[in-house]
Amino acid sequence: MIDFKVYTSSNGPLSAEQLADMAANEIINISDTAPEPLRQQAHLFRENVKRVVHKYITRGLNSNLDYMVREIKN
Amino acid sequence: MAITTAMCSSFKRDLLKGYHGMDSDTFKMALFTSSATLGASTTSYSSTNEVSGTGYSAGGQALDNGSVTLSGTTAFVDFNDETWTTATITANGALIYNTQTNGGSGTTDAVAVLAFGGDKTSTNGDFVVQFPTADASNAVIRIA
Repeated sequence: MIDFKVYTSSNGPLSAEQLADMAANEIINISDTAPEPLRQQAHLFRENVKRVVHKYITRGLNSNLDYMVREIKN
Repeated sequence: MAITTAMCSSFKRDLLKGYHGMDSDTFKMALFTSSATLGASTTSYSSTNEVSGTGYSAGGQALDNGSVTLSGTTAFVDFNDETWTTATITANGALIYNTQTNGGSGTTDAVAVLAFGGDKTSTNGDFVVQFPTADASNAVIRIA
């Protein structure tokens, strides 16, 4: 079993949400053979990880945009 | 016509013969349409039914940073995720192959087939294949 993922985008790079999903894939692995209660908890944890990563990717993008606007104004 | 995820049988044999330098040879990933037939019995790369489109060149792209790690009793191989940028393509699966088998060059020996489970399309965007986590339980190629 090779558990790879494919991500695609249209008219631009991957979205912050897709990148957050990729990060979550690297942070937590959920075995198909784990007991169901553990799997459920792991999936909840994964969603939390994804939410936090997405939040800070978005913050980073906005920060970068803000920096560029300031540089252009100056 | 189907693409089935598998480690190619010929690769297992060739690995034991010492033909593949997993952290030194140049490996490539090529993308294929749903018309392709790929699986454990695939022995080499062929351009038949390979994807074509903006941002994609025949033969695919080289995989970067191949590494071999031993963790406990399991050895595994990992590569960087592969990205085709600004690409307009539709692919149903991929073949990883070695371009330098047994110290030679220009070869096409198959390593592994990845089935995407359906057509995946990028339109003037990124097409990314993310490899599994590099550990003894998930890495793309493992020997336990």
